[in-house]
Amino acid sequence: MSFDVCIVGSGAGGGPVALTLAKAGYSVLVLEKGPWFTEKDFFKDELACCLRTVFTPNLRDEPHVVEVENDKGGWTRHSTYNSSWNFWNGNCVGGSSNFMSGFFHRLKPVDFRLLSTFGPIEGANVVDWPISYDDLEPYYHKVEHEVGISGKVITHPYAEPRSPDFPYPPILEHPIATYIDETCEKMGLHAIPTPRAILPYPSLGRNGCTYNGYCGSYGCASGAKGSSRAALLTRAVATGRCEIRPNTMVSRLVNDQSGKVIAVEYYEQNGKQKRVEATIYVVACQAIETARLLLRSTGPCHKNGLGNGSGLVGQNLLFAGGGAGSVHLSYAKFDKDKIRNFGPFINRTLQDWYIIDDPSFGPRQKGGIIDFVHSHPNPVARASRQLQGTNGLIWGKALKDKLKAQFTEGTYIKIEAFCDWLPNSNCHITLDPEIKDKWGLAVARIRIGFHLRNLQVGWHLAAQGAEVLRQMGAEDVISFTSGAPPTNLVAGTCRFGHNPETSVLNVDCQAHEVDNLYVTDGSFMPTGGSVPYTWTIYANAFRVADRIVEKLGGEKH
Amino acid sequence: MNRRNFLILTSSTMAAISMPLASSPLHWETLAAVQTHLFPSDVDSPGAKEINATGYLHFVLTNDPLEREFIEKGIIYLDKIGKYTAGKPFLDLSHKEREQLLRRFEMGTNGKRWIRKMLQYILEALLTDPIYGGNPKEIGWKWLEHQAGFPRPPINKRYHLL
Repeated sequence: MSFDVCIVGSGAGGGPVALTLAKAGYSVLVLEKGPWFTEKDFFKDELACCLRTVFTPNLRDEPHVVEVENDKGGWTRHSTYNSSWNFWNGNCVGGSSNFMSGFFHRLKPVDFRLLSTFGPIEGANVVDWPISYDDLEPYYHKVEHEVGISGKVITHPYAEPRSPDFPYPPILEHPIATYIDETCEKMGLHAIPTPRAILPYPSLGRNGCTYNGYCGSYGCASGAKGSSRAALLTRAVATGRCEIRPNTMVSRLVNDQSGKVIAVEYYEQNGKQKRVEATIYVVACQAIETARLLLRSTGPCHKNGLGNGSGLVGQNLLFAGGGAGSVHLSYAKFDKDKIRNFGPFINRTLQDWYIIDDPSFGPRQKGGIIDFVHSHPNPVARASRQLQGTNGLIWGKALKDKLKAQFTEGTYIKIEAFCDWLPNSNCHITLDPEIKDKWGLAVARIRIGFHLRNLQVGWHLAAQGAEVLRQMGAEDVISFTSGAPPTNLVAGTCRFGHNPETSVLNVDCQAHEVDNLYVTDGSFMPTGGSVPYTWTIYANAFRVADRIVEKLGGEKH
Repeated sequence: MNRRNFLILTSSTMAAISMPLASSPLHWETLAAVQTHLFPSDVDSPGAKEINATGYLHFVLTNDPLEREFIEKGIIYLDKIGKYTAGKPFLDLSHKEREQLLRRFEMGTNGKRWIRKMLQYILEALLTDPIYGGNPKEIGWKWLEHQAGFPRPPINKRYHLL
């Protein structure tokens, strides 16, 4: 049997395409490497979510190889097996969107025009996007309704132009939000309720948030979180025209003399190899695995990887730049009953430094956002962080005293600062020539070079956030930055653009060189903006889905 | 034994010891004593015994043969060093001698990794859902005033069954 569209990957990049095409009357097949969990499989179990490999592959079977710069200016390599790195973010139907905290921001108009607004940056491959904010705005709006986004529009200097207010009011907030609001008002800053892909009450056939305090890293048991699975794929399947095949690992996109894709080859769980055909093929495996799949899908017209005539597949990998910080709110100083209250998010973001226009910092330049969150409540993770002392491991009574203080003497708040991860020639994916996964396929080798600007801006933003909390009365205030990437925020590797020599995809996210191949995850982004990617990935995937419907001849009725 | 020889012994030999694993019982008594040393009981707080750290470790190792091998090699080797340096098995050492031995063991790469893992599984026994065997009657959560999330995992949805 042949399908109209075959989508590889079921996360935020795959879901919108599956739903749009199925609703338009086309037959859709979604191939997902991991299993198909539902709300009935999600519990607040730290072992399942975070300490064992239930929702991500075992790194013994499927590692990545990481390259980091060493002191001598060379690159040191290691396998993620038995290291603290893990670049898998959720291998199951719905992908990593199952495990996000729904912390959603749009890009702003300036993010589509970084090069023309601020000029080139030495050592960074900054370019303008081939589309503008206005092209994507209707789709950001669409996501608010299709996925379900709660929030409140607040006027501030860097607010993006947008359609009317959010379809859902903000979710409930932690009392600490009030302290932050009061402090920000005194400081002339604009604390805004963080938009969330979380329903505050039952709607769209899903339940509302239960506010039990365990959200990010956990699958949502109520369905309130707008994962690709809960919000989109369930509806796509209900049309009767979308089939999801879990536990299928795609090994290759088979392509012929014409340069087009003619089939997908995949492994079933039992190791059996299968093949399936479609008219249009869509890849959405998250940036790293998308590039890896294209690079290994060579063919008569694609010697260096599918659609890789530009040599740019795998290049300009993006994470999120930024800084972080932490503070302690002691029960001696703050009302214990109020701040110990546990469940809702603090839910406050500052965007006052989206552009940094401060001569003491440097020329006018792109900044980012600051977010205030509770330290993640996972107790084993919190406790494990107390094990390392300055002179070795801590155990015995010393460990117990440290645990007691950490858990019972106050609340820890984190500052998260996000800025652009500048695309650069030392941040990319290639196929590792030595290490193979359990199917015998070359694993991705990930080189993680970062631009110094990430650190400067990240440091500046984290310090601003720390100052807000210091003014609020927090203690033990520390803020810092690091070149280490957040491995759950990934984009780039197949940048889109007008010129086939300098980009992989065209403006419709169709491969320049492969007429029936589209890429709809975060891979298309040439620059990342300074917010988490998911809303933009959803919006762009809905935009590309409309183009695919047009290409297939419009809606079937 | 001088420090250098000890380090060589702890960092390289440990990986080379091979044991018939399938048939040999783990040295549970010694493992339990190590856990008690790392996480002692107190009048006002639970220790390894109260949180059922040994029972929990048994659960973990039953479901992970590679980990079982690593923990087993470690305990055999720790005991061997104890006999070599103090002339006694771990179980016969005083509190002070146990501390010295573990601190020495920590100086080797594999020794440190082994103790880190032992501590990690103690913390898991202290703070994961009682359905896995540790944290009986939420004793660990209560001690640290920890509020668990919900829904909690039922017996048929424990992580190794998903």
